[in-house]
Amino acid sequence: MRYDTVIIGGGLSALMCGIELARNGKRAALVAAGQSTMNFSSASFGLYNAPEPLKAIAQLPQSHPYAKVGVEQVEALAGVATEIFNIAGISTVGSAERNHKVITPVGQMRECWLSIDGVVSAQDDKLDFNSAALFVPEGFLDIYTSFITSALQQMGVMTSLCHFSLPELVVRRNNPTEMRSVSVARALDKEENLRALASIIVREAGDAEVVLLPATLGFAQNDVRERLERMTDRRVLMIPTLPPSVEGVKAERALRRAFEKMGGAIFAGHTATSYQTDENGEIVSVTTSKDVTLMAENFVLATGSFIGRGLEADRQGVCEPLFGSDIIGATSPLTDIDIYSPQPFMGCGVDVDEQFHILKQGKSVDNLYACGSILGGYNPVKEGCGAGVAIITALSVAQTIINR
Amino acid sequence: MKQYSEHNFEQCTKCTVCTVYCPVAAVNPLYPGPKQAGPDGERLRLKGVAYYDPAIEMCLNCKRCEVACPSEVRIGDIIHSARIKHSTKRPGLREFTLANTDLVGSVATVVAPVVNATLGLKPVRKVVEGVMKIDHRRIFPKYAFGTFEGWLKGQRKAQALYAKQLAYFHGCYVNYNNPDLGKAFVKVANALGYGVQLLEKEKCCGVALISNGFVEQAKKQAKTNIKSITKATEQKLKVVATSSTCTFTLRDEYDHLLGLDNSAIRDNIDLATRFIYELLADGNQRLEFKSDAPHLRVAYHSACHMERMGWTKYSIELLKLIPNVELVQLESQCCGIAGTYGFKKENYETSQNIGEPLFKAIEASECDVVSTDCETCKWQIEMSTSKRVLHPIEILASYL
Repeated sequence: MRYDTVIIGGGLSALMCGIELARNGKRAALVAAGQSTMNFSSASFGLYNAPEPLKAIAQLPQSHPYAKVGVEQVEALAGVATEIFNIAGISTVGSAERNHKVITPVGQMRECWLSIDGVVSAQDDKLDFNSAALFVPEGFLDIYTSFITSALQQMGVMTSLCHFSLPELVVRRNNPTEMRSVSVARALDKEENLRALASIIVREAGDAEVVLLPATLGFAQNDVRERLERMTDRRVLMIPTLPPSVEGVKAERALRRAFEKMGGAIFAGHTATSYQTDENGEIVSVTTSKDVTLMAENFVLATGSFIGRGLEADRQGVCEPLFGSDIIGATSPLTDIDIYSPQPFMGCGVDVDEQFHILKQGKSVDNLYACGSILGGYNPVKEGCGAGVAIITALSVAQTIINR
Repeated sequence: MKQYSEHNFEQCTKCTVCTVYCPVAAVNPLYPGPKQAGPDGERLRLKGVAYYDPAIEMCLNCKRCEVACPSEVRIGDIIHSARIKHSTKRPGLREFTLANTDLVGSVATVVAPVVNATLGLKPVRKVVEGVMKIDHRRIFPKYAFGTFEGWLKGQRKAQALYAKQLAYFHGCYVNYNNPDLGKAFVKVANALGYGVQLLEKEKCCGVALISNGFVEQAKKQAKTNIKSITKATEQKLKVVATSSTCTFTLRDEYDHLLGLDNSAIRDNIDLATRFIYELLADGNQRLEFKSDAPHLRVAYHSACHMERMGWTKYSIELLKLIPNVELVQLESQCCGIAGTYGFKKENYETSQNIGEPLFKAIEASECDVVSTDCETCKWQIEMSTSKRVLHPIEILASYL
């Protein structure tokens, strides 16, 4: 099959790149080896771990992916990203100028650029409510309730806690492992369950300003939170959960739908296993684990880092298994004995030139690009920029291809 | 190729994303979900058979967990293999009847008008439900009067005239229920310059036998098919099937579930839409389409095994090549029938609940017809929506 651009990957970076290409009239295909790490994200997107991320980004060394894009361009592309989320029907809050903070499932406050609308968020370390009632399903496994309530208390919010159950959730508890976010969200897709929850809230919330629930508000449907607000006549906000995250799954689904609606093709469940080149060393096609060969003018590697299997490590070192790209950051040792220190292996990734062309044996391949967490030269956890780098480098590569 | 240990479940990182995309877990809270039934349970089952939980038999073997898995764990295979190994359920008359598509088909096609009329009657279906535990609401596929094999044998001389030849694995559905699909395939193959032959001996691919607990019989039939396909392969004949599930079973389940070595022939077994699309995409082959063909809005449904094979795009792109066909791609989701699963009384509700979002999407698509490469999806969709379902090859043939 023939496309303008084949993107190897199916996660946030691949989807952003694909959507930007598709909405500019390019025929793009994604090779997605299973569901992506978006399913595990809390559905908040970090640009950089600093109160004013753009200012921090301007100071980064040239080896950092953001530095290759340039801070003005990072700002412009951050705007494009917000636009794409909007087109996909994902409503976000936040700005690249100034971070807000979100609460994590274990009650920590984290710097953040964009959040799904309806997630509890703080500006300048302040929440905009003084009292809350937290409703958690009995036996729910995906948030640490006491950490959440104590974090809220510390921020000066009077929080009451109510455990609730619904007949359908009682059945779920027969299975010790499945009292999870997705199960609750599926139950709340049903009108009768939502009404039952609404009446529990009305009965139990007292005079709390805000009702808090784990982010389990609807799996197939997108307006469950708003409907619950109308039914209870309260502001309802969500606490992010452990993975798989309902909001992450919904965000991935929305981006995939948007991409396909624009004419993009997704080869789901395919792993790219080999590639073919012409006499100049340019890539002509890739072949997948399902015996499908995809030809294109341009190829983008967005297979993620270790968890997405974009990078592999063994005792000999780190490699990128598909193209055998050059690797940077594979210093020895790859790990720090102190588990809480930034781990050196997180800085590993494929080596690219200023336009994100992949380098092989020090030479760039003209029609082969890399974007997202497969890139090296930064630490996504310490810098809180995993999603930001995925999005910004994807859009940068897309624009290079469009202008080619 | 990556070398995995014998225990593929070791690749599981416990991310649980498979359970998110499991159609059974979505509607039936009693099902433990693919992670628990598959890799987690397998780890325990290695310790002893006492850890076998019959609840895993609610799995309908759609393999959507495997498509969702980021770590290439063959979750569906793990579940189904455990079931083959440990299930204490013994198949009864119902399972025998549903699984023996060849035997039942051979008898039914001889007296098709009687069978069709009888099974169409509600009181009869009530009796069938009482005796067989096959749900009375389930509508049976009609049997044809005379088999496809019989028809093609009559065409032998005409087919031999074509310079290029292929072998067609028609499957039970084409042979006993819908010979017209087989005839449509022959028409398209002929238009591309291929004569169509039968395999030396074709048996039911065995998918229904496997899922109904007749594994030894499935192996026996699989060996016959492997032998016939090997012979065709030696004669340089491509083996092409119209049914996505037959294709998937021949290529993957023979090895993964029955433990039979099909490596020498696997690559020579192709799906009809893929085979034809690749001929046309090469640019060397062309099809002459009718100039006055009517406009048709087609909604394409990706069957589960089609999705697992990863070949959905071939059918979609092939349909897009037909002038005046307007294609709507339905979001890929299970229709709920899963072969013989949905026929069983105890599965009827689950089956229809799984399919509900798809049925709604089909009604909302404002299509003229639905298209899919799977015959059992066709039965389910025709029973549960207002739309007719055609195989992509039937649509293609009608435009030639």
